[in-house]
Amino acid sequence: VSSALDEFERSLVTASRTLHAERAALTQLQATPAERPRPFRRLRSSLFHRRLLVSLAALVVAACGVAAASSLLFPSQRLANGTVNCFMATHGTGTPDLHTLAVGGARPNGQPPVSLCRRWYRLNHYRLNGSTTGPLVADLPLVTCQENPTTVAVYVATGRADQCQRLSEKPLPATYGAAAARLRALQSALLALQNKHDCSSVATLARGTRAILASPAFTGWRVITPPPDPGKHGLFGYALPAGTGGTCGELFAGPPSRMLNIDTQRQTLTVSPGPPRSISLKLNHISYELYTTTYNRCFTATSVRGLVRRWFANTPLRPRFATANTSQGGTYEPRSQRLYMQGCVRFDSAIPGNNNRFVDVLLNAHNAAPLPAGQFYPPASAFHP
Amino acid sequence: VSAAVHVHDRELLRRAREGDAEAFGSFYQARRGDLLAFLRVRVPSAELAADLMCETFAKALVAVHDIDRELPMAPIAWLLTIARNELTDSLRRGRVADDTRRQLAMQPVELSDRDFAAVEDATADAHLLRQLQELLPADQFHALTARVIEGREYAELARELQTSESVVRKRVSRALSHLRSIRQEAS
Repeated sequence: VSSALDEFERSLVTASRTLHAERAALTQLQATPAERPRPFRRLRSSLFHRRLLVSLAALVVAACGVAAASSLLFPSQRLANGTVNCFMATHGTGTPDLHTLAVGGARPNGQPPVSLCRRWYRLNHYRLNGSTTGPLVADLPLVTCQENPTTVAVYVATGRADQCQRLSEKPLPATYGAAAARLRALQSALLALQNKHDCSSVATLARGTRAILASPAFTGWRVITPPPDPGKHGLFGYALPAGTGGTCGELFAGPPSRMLNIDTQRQTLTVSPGPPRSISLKLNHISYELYTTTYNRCFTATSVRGLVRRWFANTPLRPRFATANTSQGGTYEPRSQRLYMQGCVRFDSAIPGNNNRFVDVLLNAHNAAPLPAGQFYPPASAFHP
Repeated sequence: VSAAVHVHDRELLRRAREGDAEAFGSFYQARRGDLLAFLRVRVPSAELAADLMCETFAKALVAVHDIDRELPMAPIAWLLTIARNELTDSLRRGRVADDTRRQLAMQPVELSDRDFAAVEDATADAHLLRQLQELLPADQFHALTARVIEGREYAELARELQTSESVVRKRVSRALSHLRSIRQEAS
């Protein structure tokens, strides 16, 4: 029986190899910064912000171009927003089998389909026609065809110019690259939109997002806005303390991920409630420091509060504390667990208040009362300065 | 144990950053159980725990390859922090994110029966460790878990504890005798 969790390890190893290779390539291309790839964009320099605003302008210009030539670009955009089937043969049907289809329904999110499939071929060491001794597909020349209006197929190239036609498919439209680039530009534009202000409400950000999506290239896309008070509608039935979690809109997952909540398959963008970006970034850093420190060293109920207050002293957030046994049967690595069992108190989590003036800090102590089953945080009334 | 675990984990992350991709696989193997145990008791299903775990490791991988960031001093604590942030973000968003996995072109994980068992086993192991810790004196618990669960050599443990191999062997042996006597009393 195969194990998906073991398979995932192989995905991580391949991704690690790819990231390292990308970084090496990036280092080599330092001399020509305009050309270098930026697989994981950072938000630090104002120069980069300006570059994103330029991308936003470019998107608007591109959208006008799309309106003028919609008959050409609409199908390309559908295709670029769709999925990719990676075949390990010169032909295939998209139906899973051991000899032709390697990966079905992969989402490229604006990446070139051939690059995406090569990653997968390398990951699982796919060989031509699924044989055990044939050449590795990743090393062979590949060709892209349009399998259907929303699916790109990548095949091992036969060398014939009419390979797609012989499979009753079309070659990839010439405008596909532009459509994929438009998807990438969409991400840049949305990032610029969110970073324009430290805090925009969920409604404002959703409105801005809809305006960007109003381009004909993204017809049919939807903006999803979760309920503004996650305390009442938390995932898994859990609730955040009332009055916390933030009232600003967030298009990107909070730190440390900083990734766009985009789903090209369902064609949705999610705007979630969260704290202002400046607070979110600080909170993430402080949480890591507090968690690591109290994981490794012993603090009393008093000294841990002092530690937390010191970390938050240079922020507008005043800590309010609650203590519970949050381990719920879980354990830490042995030395840390020993500290915990001896009564050392540790930092558990920090949720910023909606008014950006307080932060609810949950402390974890072995001798404290456990949280009721199915509850992730104590109620707001349990937190005190 | 803690210091050695951190040193070992840091070494794996350092090697991964320098291009040894298998080292990150080893880190995943070593810490997967800890993370599953941590998450499983906080979410209502094995699927959610596994989903959060995968996104956590994907984020950790990206961070390891970001040369602007320093590698963490306590990798397991760092990993748990990412997991916690993921859980909190999921609460806010109303779904478990898969952004990083998608950026890395990773396919969604579909758990088999074996995976479900692995997730539940990880939680059971964590329970077992906690029970052992309550039953055994600290030095015996330390020696037993280091030798039996972590599979470390007596010589290495002796060096770390600045004592002789025979003392470490004795602690492991006493821990096992202690557990045997408890079992006999119970039966």
